[in-house]
Amino acid sequence: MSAVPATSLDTARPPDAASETSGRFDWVLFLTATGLAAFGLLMMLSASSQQADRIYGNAFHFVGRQTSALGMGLALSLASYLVPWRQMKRAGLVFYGVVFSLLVVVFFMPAVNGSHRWIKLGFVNVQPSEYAKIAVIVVLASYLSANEGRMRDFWGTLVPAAFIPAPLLLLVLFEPDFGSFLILTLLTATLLVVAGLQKRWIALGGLLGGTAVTLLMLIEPYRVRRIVSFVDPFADESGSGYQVVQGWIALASGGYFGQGLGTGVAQSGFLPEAHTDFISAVVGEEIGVMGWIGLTVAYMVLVWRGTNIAARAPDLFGTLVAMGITTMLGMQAVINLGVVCGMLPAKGLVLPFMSYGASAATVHVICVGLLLRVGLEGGKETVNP
Amino acid sequence: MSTAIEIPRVEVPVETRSSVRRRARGRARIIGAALVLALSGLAARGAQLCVEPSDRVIHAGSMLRYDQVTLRARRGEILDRNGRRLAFSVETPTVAVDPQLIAELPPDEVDSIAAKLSDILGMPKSDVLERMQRSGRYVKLASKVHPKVAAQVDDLHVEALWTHRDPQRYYPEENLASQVVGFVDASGNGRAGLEQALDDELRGGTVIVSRRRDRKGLDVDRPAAVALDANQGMDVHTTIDRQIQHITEEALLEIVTLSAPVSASAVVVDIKTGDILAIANVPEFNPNAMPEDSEPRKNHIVVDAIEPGSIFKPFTIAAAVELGLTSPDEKIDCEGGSWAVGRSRIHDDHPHGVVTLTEVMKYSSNIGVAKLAFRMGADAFLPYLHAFGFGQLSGVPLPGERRGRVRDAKTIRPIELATTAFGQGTTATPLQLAMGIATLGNEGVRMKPRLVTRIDDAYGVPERIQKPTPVERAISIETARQTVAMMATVTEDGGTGTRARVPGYLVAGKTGTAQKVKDGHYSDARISSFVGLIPADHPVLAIAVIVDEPTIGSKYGGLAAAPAWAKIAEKSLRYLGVDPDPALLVEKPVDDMVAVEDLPAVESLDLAWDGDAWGVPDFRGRPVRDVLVALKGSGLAVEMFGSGEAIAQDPPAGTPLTPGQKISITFQ
Repeated sequence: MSAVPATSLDTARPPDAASETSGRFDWVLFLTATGLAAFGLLMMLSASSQQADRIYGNAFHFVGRQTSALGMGLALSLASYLVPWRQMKRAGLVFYGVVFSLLVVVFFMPAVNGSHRWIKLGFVNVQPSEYAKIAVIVVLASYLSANEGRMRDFWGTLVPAAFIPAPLLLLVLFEPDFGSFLILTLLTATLLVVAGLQKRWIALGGLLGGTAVTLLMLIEPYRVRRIVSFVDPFADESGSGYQVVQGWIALASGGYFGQGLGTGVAQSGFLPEAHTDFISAVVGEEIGVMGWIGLTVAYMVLVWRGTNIAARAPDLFGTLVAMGITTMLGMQAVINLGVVCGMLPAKGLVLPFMSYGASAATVHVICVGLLLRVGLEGGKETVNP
Repeated sequence: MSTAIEIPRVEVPVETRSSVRRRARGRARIIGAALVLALSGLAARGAQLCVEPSDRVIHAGSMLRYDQVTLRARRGEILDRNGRRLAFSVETPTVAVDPQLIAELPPDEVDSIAAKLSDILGMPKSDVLERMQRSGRYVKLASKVHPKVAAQVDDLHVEALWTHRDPQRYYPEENLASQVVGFVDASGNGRAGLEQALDDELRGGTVIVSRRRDRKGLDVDRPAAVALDANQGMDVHTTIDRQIQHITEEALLEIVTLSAPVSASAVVVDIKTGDILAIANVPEFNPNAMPEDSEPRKNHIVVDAIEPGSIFKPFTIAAAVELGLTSPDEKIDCEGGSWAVGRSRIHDDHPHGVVTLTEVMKYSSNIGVAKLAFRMGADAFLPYLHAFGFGQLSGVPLPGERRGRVRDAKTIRPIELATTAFGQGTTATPLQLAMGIATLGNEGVRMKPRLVTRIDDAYGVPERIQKPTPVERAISIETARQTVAMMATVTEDGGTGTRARVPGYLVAGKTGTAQKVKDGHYSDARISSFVGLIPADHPVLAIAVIVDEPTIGSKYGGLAAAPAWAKIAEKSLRYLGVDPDPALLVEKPVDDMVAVEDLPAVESLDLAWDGDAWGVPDFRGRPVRDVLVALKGSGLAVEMFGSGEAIAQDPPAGTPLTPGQKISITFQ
């Protein structure tokens, strides 16, 4: 297989069989994602019910909203299956337009905590920067697959490719939503790399990206504090290091088997973000190291299955979409858990399927739907337009 | 390749699809592997944080999330003889506020919260606001609130407010038997009554636990629950009968209305067992509220050692009968109401000539019993007082019990022997008096007073059982019966205790009106009392009623104490189901002229020094010699006229005189 990889896939199945059967439904991926979402709701109930009851008089406030968001994602996923695979690229373009408009609309909404991230619709708050991730993946993948094999053309392919995500990236950066900006940048980079970006550009990009990230963090003092708190959270235990210290205390009190489901105290006020960014600490406290390892293994399975689907995709578009999604989910998990572990500076990034966040939940379900869709198309060697 | 040829104008050659796909798959796998590697690292790091936390994390965590507290196990209950709870512990809600969170709210919202709380808690809004704006993270707004009130507070959904439950002592009968039950202070220590005396048994063990708590410092789980269960306090079963206690307290409250005394107390004893069915004192207090005054907390029944006065006479008479020195029908010369003993003179309020011993009891003759005391002599007489339980602790588990004082046979002076016979110069607690009277009713056998029957652990297994305990035989059955029969004449027409009659039952009792000793001297104030047995023919209850300093109406025991005694006796017997004697059910009209014993029984000729001046006694009727002896060494200038007995003095009795001042006495 590795000797002649390009053809091995083609010859693995008879050409006509490949065109008739529509690949495989990845049950492992499906069950892992479903399990994570269900487990996320369970942990969220424990992590948020006290606060929900206190503020809204309804212990199920957050869990209810999250469930609706997941359902919404499911509905949108199923709807996406109505779009023929060949029409996906065009649909992506429309979606891009909608997201772009929403990201502009965001600036006319009142700022929350100093940033314009949400469009309040009363019953639900939409966070367009989450949807921007899908838009960037689909549209960039679409462009790069249309220019398959032309990655060495700096002016003809690479520069136009950079212009595709740029509007969304800039809008997100000015909200500001640094976490989403970072993810969108990483997604763009991933797609370019997978599409065949030359190694010199990868090296240069890595260098520039690293410098840019460092500079951005140094520009604003609150980012400096975050860096300090990540190197040594105890240096500012009651300030910028507070969350991380509280997360560590939660994990430590979990030990091997945890305090038991629903008996954690982190969410009683020690951890302000218990049901959002730091929900993994609640998992650690209530289920212990078993829960923590189970959680990380689940994300490894997601990445493994996602990568597999990317590799078996029918076309470059499929590979890019699958890998974009896989990277997005994987990177968010890595960054979120890295923050909790104190290995990365604090970032407002959710843990996919676990953290509370309606838009993120909807988007992540759609992403898994798309991944499964690519898997279903896998094995079909479609004609590249 | 072919594509490069097809598009020759493109400077950069187009790669083949297969090489692009191959590279894409390869790079995808590398990225995927990198992500899995990163996740593995995080899995390991997170696992390390879980199971091998650094000392700093452990320290910070234990500071924040654990506190070491001393938990007290449930306090035992105090129950009456029928198992009704007199004291028990319940977990009641406390409403608290976190002022730090309040400070983050806008002022108008704080104001509206305060208004709602003021409504719910029934506290002035300004008071609520003041507490909400104190410093710190925990301020108590109200404790021991009703669970409904706590629910209303919870329903406000204000983050800064919360409720938690704490064990609180609760006394369902409120003022009932408050001095016997006692109360528990804010730190859980028994104060007064059984709560204090049996604190060790009631309080239960303490468990020191490291307790996990949440952000507000509240208990999360109860790791100590098992340990606490095992250390629960013991339940104390008392002999108090809630119903009789209630009857007794009601009767005392009537005394308060009628006589306005400083205090009034009563004790009801079951004669056969020595069980204390009721101990009541007014004023009383509500142990549910922290009593401020110490006066209502006093259990006069055990902490007061009073001079009993005439209610002591039955013991003197019983001793003399037991010694075979007299009998109920023996004629005794009561000297016409005045009898000189040494330099003093003993008086009877109603002068009597020669009367029977029974009449000495009936009319309460001081002279009659004084003569018996001399006939017995101190060496024979005083041991009987000890046998009746005087001068020693009864051993009842109540704090501050007094021993009382019986004079020493070796040092007693003749006049003291005489006054001891009618209850002066001797002190006794009302409980001792009631137990002594009960001894007469129990055919001469003195029982140990029993207040606690059983102390059970939290699961009802008895730890300690107190059975009725006879202490000793004080007198023979025959003597006891004769004494009781003599006491029964007290309530007959012409006796001093007619007001103590109870329709349907024969009452054997004795009135008492004693001069109250204040600052070491006899004063005008009186302690009025009635002690007795009912029914006299087969005694069931011994009851003592003591009225300390009646200020309205009569001060005589036969009038101030006897009616209340009768009420207690009648209602209690009916409640206990003791059948009345039909022959006695026809209520005899009580004499309007109640015979009263009186005071002062003894006129001492000794001058009383109050620190500044002499109090001059009444010398009238005294011979010259007595007066001279009395005034010797006083430093007063004495003028005497005539001879024989004194008929007049100037200044009159009671006037304070300083040394050097003059006193004139005329004799005839």
